[in-house]
Amino acid sequence: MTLTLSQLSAALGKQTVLHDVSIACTKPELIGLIGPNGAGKSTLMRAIAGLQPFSGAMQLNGRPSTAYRADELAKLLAFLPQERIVHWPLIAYDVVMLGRMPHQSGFGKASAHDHEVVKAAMHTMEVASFAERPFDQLSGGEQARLLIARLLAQEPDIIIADEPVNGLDPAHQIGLMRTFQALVAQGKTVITSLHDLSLASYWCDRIIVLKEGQLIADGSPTDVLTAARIRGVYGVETAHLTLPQGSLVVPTDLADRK
Amino acid sequence: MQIKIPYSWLMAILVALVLLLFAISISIGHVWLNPLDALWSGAGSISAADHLILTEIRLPRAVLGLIIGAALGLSGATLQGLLRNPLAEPGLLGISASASLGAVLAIYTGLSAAFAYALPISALLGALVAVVLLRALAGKSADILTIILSGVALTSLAGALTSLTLNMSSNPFAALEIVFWMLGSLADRSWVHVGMALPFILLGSVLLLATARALDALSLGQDVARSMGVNLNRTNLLAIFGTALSVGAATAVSGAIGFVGLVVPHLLRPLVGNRPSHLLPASALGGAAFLLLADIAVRFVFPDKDLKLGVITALVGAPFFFWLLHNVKKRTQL
Repeated sequence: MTLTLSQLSAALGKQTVLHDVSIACTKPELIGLIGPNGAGKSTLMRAIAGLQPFSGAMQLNGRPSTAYRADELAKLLAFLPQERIVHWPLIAYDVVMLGRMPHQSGFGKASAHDHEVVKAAMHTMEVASFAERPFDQLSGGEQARLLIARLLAQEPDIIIADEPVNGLDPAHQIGLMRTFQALVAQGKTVITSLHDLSLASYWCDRIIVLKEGQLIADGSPTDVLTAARIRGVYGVETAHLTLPQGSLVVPTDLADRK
Repeated sequence: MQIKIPYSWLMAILVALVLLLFAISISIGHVWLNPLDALWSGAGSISAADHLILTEIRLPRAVLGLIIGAALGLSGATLQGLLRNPLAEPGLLGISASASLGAVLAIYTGLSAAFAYALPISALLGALVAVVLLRALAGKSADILTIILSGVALTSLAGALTSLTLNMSSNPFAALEIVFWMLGSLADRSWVHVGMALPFILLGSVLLLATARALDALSLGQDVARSMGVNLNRTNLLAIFGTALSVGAATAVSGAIGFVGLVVPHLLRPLVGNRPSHLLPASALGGAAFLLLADIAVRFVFPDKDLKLGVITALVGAPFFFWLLHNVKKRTQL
């Protein structure tokens, strides 16, 4: 699965929020998209998911993304928005089953395979224990995990997830990063926006930094997440911990804490 | 609240309920008829007069109750799913109001007196004009707020034009006729009316039912629905044309009957696990049962008063609407 963006620009109203962003994803990777609020991360992800008009070119497997029909695209690429919306108090299991929609035809009768995939996705996200509960009776973190299970049930080659760890406890945050890594090991590409620099530095294979709609860095966490760059992007100091398994970048301002 | 009942059971119960109410509907009136006698032992077992009452008065009335109730219930459920708002109903998009305006114009201009079909045809045209205007106002956008506001604008416009027509009516009887017609009724309808409404309601219902899967996806919001391959423009068009056809045809023969599309989907939603795709067929059956029941009540409670059907549905529906409004408000405050 390859994904290439060439000089992608996008506007919200008259405001240009992405300027000539070029990215090439040629191998399975867990890509962390970071940058301050308003940097254009969500717009970039919505553009990749086909939800935001843009200028420039985007190719999926060497074919222009605009050449794909919406239902073809839905089998290749799944999108998790930042807002966790379920308009009706649907049963948890039914919410995850919605992810199978691109693979079902006509009246959408769920096959045995669909049920297997849904159960596996619910197991992965540890939401199987409340499969029969209505959505509005779940906690915020449970709702978040359930909607990620819906994303996984879609079985796409490319996952676009906008701040998926928001509202998750530390164990589930790490669990989600492990899940993403497992998907990468299966040959999938995961692009996720993150505000947590320690998660990004430790778990991601590649970091893309956006600032004011421009791509300012793209590379491995150690190359990209330098103290100087983070100071330049966020205006904060960082502590850098090198562990045998990887490195951790923790935003902090040691000068303020005496 | 979730109540566990298998979907197939629920549908079977609703079908049985509709059949029962249909049978009661053709039995009740000034003359009590046993429908089993008439249908199973042939025309010979009842008098010629009774046979005439049954086939020419009772049957078309019951059939209209069934198909109009189904059209209103189905379109209400579809609009609620499309707009993701439990307060939506066919009236919301201004289609009922525009259909009424079409009918009122037919009465005011005297067209309906000169040509019997003018009333229903004019109402249908009103509904179609509403759809075309709605699409023009809402543009190519699939934005829900734009559609709702277009509906509000259209309802106001149709209401103003209806008032204007009433003001300009020199004939006091015309105004009275219009007021009565606008209250909604199934009395004194014939097979002609069934023939006029049925094809449009059937076609409209097919379009509305085709939105079922997209409405399920829309539960997760527009972005997710689109990312799962749903064509929102197509869904909007299906829902709007489906509503125009079925509600336009329904309003044409029965006048404006409100609240069926609001009450029925809301009552059935917990029984189908809140799934919009399951709610659509259930609401069609539920709407049919609700309107048949209301039409029985009209004849049973005040047999000599010619109580209007729209009055009954509003008497039940309006307090229900307030209750719903209160509950929705409470829920959003949490």
